Amino acid sequence: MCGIFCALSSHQSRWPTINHQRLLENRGPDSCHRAESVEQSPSINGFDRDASCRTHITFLSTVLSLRGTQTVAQPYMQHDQTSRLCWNGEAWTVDGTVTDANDTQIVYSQVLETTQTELSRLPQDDETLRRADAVAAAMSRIAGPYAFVFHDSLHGLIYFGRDSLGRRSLLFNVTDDGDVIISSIPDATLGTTWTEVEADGIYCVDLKRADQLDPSGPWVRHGTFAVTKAQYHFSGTGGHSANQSVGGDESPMSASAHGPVGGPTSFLA
Amino acid sequence: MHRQLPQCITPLHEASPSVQQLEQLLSRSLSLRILNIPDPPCEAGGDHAPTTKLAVLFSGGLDCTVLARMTHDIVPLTEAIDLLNVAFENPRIHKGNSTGGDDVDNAYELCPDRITGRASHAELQRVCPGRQWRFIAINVPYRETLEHRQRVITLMHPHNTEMDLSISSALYFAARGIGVYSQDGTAIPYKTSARVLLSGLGADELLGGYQRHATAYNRKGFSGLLDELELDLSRLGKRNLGRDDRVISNWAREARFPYLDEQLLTWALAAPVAEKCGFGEPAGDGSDAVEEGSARLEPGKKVLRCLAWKLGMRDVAREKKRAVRLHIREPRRVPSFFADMSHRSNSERARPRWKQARPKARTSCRRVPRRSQHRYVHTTSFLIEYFPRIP
Repeated sequence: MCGIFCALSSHQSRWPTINHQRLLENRGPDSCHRAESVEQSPSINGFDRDASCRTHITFLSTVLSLRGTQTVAQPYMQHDQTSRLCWNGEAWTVDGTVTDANDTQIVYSQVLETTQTELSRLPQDDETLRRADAVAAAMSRIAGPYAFVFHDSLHGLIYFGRDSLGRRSLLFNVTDDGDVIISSIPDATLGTTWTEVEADGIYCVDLKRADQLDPSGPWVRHGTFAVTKAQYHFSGTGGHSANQSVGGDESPMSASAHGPVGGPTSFLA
Repeated sequence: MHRQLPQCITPLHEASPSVQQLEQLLSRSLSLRILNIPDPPCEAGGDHAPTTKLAVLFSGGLDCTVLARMTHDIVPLTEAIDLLNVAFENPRIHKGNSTGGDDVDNAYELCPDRITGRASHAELQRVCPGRQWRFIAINVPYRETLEHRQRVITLMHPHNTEMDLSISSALYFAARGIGVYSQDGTAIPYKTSARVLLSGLGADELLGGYQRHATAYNRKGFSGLLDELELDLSRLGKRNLGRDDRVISNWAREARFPYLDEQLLTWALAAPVAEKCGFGEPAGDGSDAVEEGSARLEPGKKVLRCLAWKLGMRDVAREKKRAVRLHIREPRRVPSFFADMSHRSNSERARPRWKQARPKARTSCRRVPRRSQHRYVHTTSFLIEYFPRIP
């Protein structure tokens, strides 16, 4: 099992507290690494490069190595790329084919390829939504448990999610100052605002979008960031059809599926 | 999901096609999950400790025992397999034994999961000789349950009920993997080196193994049973696997769920109900040789029972669901994510007893104490069965 921590902040580099890092290291004692990048996005009025349109993206990833012959350190990044993957999972098969090599590299290549594919431009289309949909389609080809965070540095997007059965943990938290934290385990010092990420698709954070948010659209504001969701695509053969055949029609974001008072609140519910 | 009502029912038995299909799918699912596990790193100073790569979260029930039995056919005979079996001390039942000693040890051996665990271990040894099955008795003193309580509460958050705490504690201590095993009559302290833990979770949902499936069939026939199964399958993704992951992984181990395999799931969804369960099967007249064997097994998860039978595990195949009656009220929350113990007990005392909503449980033999349900983990499977709707 691996431990994932990813923080998005418009004003600082956020790192896990000592206790939180210790819990993350418990999950993955074989390797622990940090990474950071700063997204500088043009403001609405042009290219005003002040601090307000900067986003700090920080990662801490711990690894429990159970695949391949060597421990593959995370956050994973290919040498000539700037996109990063935090992967906590087991991709047993991709398109029904058994994966022999380390699955972190396979998943990285697969998602990276998807994000680099040129989409034909349609003026009234939301390009980011279509990108998120393409990533959801790519992840749907994987059979196995997982939780992941992927930073698409080319487009300034963060993808995250869990496999459709929710076999791996991933939690979401919005801090008082509007930062977003995605982590395998909660940090008690940040209070009780942690929610489980729903295992119903891929979530996408547009690091540039929050200011231009249309509240009626598919984007939902969380802190200073805008988040949307893309459903998994299951054909019923390669992957599995469970979610399509059963309960596939009900809105996965509806809170009704969650039971009595006292249970955890669901993400985006 | 396949919702057609069965017309003509042939009793399931060990040679039924669906038993064969389940065997193939489960074998493939297990192979993906247990072959090619790298050797665990050696702990400093632990050179002489035996190493294993694989352990099973082992209550001794049908689901996990079939996994253990099939694992035997997949991994080399030289590899020992650890069977992790938890029992908790309950000061209300194990009275006056806080100083330890034989009485407490005996009390652990009376826990329901320990009894079935020992029995299934013995059957595995009989059916699969040549394999070292290491039965790890994980005995958790009440003092230790209290010591780790706050950590478990932190890990299982945002889940926050007493019932979550009970299940999480059981998984937490099982995954810690510290216990004793006996060799030549001597108890040897042991910590498993396995980083991969197999769990039997999912079989009850997929194959109709819960008592409420039987209840639904008895009350409303096949349509009631199908409704219940459909509900279970649609909820799988919203089950508590994230919570379980957080408490188990804290020990640098990973739980794997062979029953929650995409292909197996697809098959279970598509299969007619009569190929999974034995409800509504005609009573045999005893004339057929098969009638005396696997065809007579219990209806819940019958396809899996037949598979166990086919693999020589006949006692496990016949295992009865423990008779449990339960009245559920609103689950009580664990007071706070950060709360310390004293705060909790004060707030508890402040409420009149009759206002303290908590589940009442009763077994055929013994009553679960009303106060502090979490002190006595009855059996993990029992808790999971009866509190499935707690998100």
